Amino acid sequence: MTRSGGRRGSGDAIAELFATSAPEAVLRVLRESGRALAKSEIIDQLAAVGVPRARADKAWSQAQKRLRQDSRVIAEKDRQIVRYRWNPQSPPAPTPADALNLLVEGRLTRGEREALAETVRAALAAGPPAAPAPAASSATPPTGEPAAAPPSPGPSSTAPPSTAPPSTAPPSTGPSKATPATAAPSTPGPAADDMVPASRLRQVELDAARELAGMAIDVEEQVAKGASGKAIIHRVRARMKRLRLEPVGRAGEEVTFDRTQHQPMRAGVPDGARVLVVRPGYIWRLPGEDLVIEKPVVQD
Amino acid sequence: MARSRVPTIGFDFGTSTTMIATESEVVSLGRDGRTRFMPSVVGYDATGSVVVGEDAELLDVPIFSIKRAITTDRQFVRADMVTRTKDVRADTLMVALLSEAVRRATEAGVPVRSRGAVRLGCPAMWTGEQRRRLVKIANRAGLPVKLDALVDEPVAAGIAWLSGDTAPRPDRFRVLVFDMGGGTLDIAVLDVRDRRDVAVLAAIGLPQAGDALDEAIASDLESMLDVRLDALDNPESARAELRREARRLKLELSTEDEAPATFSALYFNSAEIWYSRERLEAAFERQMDEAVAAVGLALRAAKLTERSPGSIHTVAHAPIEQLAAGIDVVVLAGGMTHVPYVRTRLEELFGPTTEIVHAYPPADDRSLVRSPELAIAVGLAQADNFGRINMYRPALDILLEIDDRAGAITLYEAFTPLMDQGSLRRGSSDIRYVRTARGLSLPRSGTGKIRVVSHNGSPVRSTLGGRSLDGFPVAIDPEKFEFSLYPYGRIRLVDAAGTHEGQFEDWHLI
Repeated sequence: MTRSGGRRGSGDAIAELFATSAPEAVLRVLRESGRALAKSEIIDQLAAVGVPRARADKAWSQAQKRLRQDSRVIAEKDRQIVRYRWNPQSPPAPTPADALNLLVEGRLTRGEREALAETVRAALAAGPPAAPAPAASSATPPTGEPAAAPPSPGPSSTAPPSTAPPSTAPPSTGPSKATPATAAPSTPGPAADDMVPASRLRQVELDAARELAGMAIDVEEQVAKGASGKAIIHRVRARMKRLRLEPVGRAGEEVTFDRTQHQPMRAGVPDGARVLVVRPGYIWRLPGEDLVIEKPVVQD
Repeated sequence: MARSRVPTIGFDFGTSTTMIATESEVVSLGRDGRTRFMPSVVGYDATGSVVVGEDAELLDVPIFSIKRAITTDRQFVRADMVTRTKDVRADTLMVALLSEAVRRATEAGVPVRSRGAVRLGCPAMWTGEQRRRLVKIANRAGLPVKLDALVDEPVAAGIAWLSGDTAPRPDRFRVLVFDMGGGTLDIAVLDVRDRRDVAVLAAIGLPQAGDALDEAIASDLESMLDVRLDALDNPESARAELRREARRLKLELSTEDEAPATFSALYFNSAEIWYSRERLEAAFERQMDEAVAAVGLALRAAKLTERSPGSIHTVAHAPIEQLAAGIDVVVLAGGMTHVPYVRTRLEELFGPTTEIVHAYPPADDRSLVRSPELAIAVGLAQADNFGRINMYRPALDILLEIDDRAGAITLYEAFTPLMDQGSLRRGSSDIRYVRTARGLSLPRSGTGKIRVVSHNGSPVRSTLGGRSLDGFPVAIDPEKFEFSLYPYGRIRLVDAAGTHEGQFEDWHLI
C-alpha cells in the first residue's frame, strides 16, 4: 500500500476503515492485494498502513469469521496454512441500503445476517458522503416568459422528477425544492443539485422547454387561423392555469396602484393613483404558498 | 450467501401509452429520452416489418390500442401491409411493442430483465386467462414475470395515492378508486389496514370512457358549425380537426367555464366557436350516469364481502347513497377525471364527508408540469411496499387431485370473480362462486384431495372442516359434489362425507 503525499491514499482509507469496521478493512486488504494472503500477511499489511499490530491481531477472530461467511472470499489451505483470496467473479456486495432491505426481509442464515449487519454498521459509522461542489446548471425553467402549459390530450407532457426520492413514497414529478422562474432566476442550492442526477435535471429542462414551445406553437396556430385576440389570450391563460400559474391583472385594465403588488414604469408613482396595466403579472400557486413570478407592469 | 434485493419496477403497458417507473423516478421511455412515455402504437412498414412506438404513429394506417385485443379476447387484428390488408396475430405485435420498451428501459439502465423486478399492470376486469396471456407476451418480450407480478391497475392507482398521502388516517379505512381513461372505466373498492395492507373487495370494469366524450363533443361542434362533412373533399381530415378541437376543449374546460374552438380556413372558414362547460356536461351526462351505476355495482359487491352484510336482497336494493357512506376516500385516476363534471357527480353521490383526491401526483407536489397519467406506473413500482389481497378475484387456483388418476381438476381458476355481475344486478339471493360435478368429469366414487396454488407470491392460509384446505381429503360423489366460495371468504365443500365449512384466513374480515 503506498501513500501519496498530499493526497488521501488507499492505505489511509484502510486505516480509517479499520477504526470503524475491522472485517471491512481486512476485506479491502484482500481485494487490493490481488493475491491469496495468510493471516500473518494480512496483519503485516494492516500494520504497514498504520494499524497497531496488537489491535489487528485482536480483531482477527472477528475478521476471520467474516472472511469465512463472505462468498467473495475463497479460503485455500496449503500445508496447514490457510490463505484467503478475493474472488473477483463473485456478485457485487450489496449496498448498505440493499443490506438493510435484505435484513428486513428475513429468511437469512445467521452468517448472512451478520455479514449484512456489518455492512450497515460500517455505512452508519462512515456517515453521509461529503457534498461535492455545486453543479453549474440550474434545474429551474428558463426565465422571462413562463413555461407553456401541458400539451393537449393524450399522453401529456412529462413532469420534472423529484429531487429526493423517498423509499415508500412515489416519485414526485417536480423539483420539490427548486423555485420556478422569477425575475432573478434562482438555482437550487448545492445539496439539492447533488441529489439530482444529471438525467433528471435534463428532463426537468426538457419539460420546461416543451411547455414553452407548446405555448408559442399554440399562439402561432391561433393567429394563422385568424382567431380573435380574446380567444388567443383565453387559450394562453387556460394553459397557464393548468400549470398553476395565475394572471394578475389584465393588460389594458385600469387599477389602483399598490407598490407591493405592481411594478410601475417610472419611479415615484404614489400608492392609490389610477394606473393602466400594460403587462399582466403571474403568480405560481403552490401547495402552501404563492410565489410571485412577475408583478404586473403599470403606467400612470 | 445473501442475495441483492432487486429494486421494483412498475411497467404500465397502457392502451394509449407505455410507461415505466422505478421506486425513485419515472423513466424517460420516449425516443431519445424526450418524453416519459412510449406510444402504444404498432403497425407494418413498407417492407412488411413490424414498427412500434413513435415510428408506428407515422404509418398510414397505424394500429392503436393493441392491448384491447386481450380485453376483447381477439387473437387477430387487421393490419395494413401496404399492398394488402391482412389479419395478423395481436400477440406478435404486443411482443414487438413490449420488446422495444424493454430495450429502451435497459438502455436507460433500468434492470427490467431481472427476475422478480417488474410489476405489470392489468385491468381489474381481466380473467385468469387474459392475465396469463399478458404474462406469456411479457415473457416473450424479455420480461421474466409470472402471474404474481400482475397488479390490478386501480389497485396500483390506489397505492400511488397511498404512497404520497401524509394525512392522518384511521387504522382502517375504505377507498374507492375511479379510474376513467381513454378506453375504459375501472372501479375498485379497497379496504386499507394500517396504511400497508390493501384488500380488493370489488373491481368492476367498463369498456368505455374518454374517447366516447371526444366523439360526443366533436359531433356537437359539427352541428354548431353547420357543415356537411360528407360534401367536403376530405371529410376524414375535417373530422380529425373536429376531434382535435374536441380534445382541446375537454382539456381547457377542466379549468375554464368556456373555451374557444378555432378552426382552419381549409374546411371550416376560420370559424371560432365558444363552447361552454354546461354543454360539455350535457354531452357527458349519459356516460356519467352509466359510470355512477357502475360505482353502485362495485359498492354492492364490496358490501357482500362483509360477514354479515344483511340479506342479498337488502344489499341489492339498498340505496346507493347508503352504500356510498361507507367510503372514506375516492381516488380519481385516468385522464377523464380532470373533467370537473366527474368530481361534481361523485361529490353528489358520496356527500361532503368523503374526501375526493387525485391518485397522482401527491397534493403537496410542487412540479411545474404535473403528470397524473403516471399514477399506474408509479403505483406499480410501489406495490411491493404493500400487502395485497384480492378478495373479489382471489389470486389462487384450487384444484382437485383424484387419487390414482394423473392430472388435476380445476375447481377454481385464479382471478375468476366470486360474484357474477348479472346476479348482483338482478338481486339474486345466492351470490357465490360454485362448482358442481357438471363439467368436472368426476369418477363415480373414489377419493382425492384439494390443492391450493397461490399466484400472489405468498402462501394462502385457508381452512376447511378444521384442517388446512390445501391437502383436504375429498370423498367423491358426483351426485352430491358442490364446491363454493363466498365473497367474504367462506369456503364450503359438499362431498360424500358430508358438508365442510371453512374460511380464507388473512382476508380483511369485516
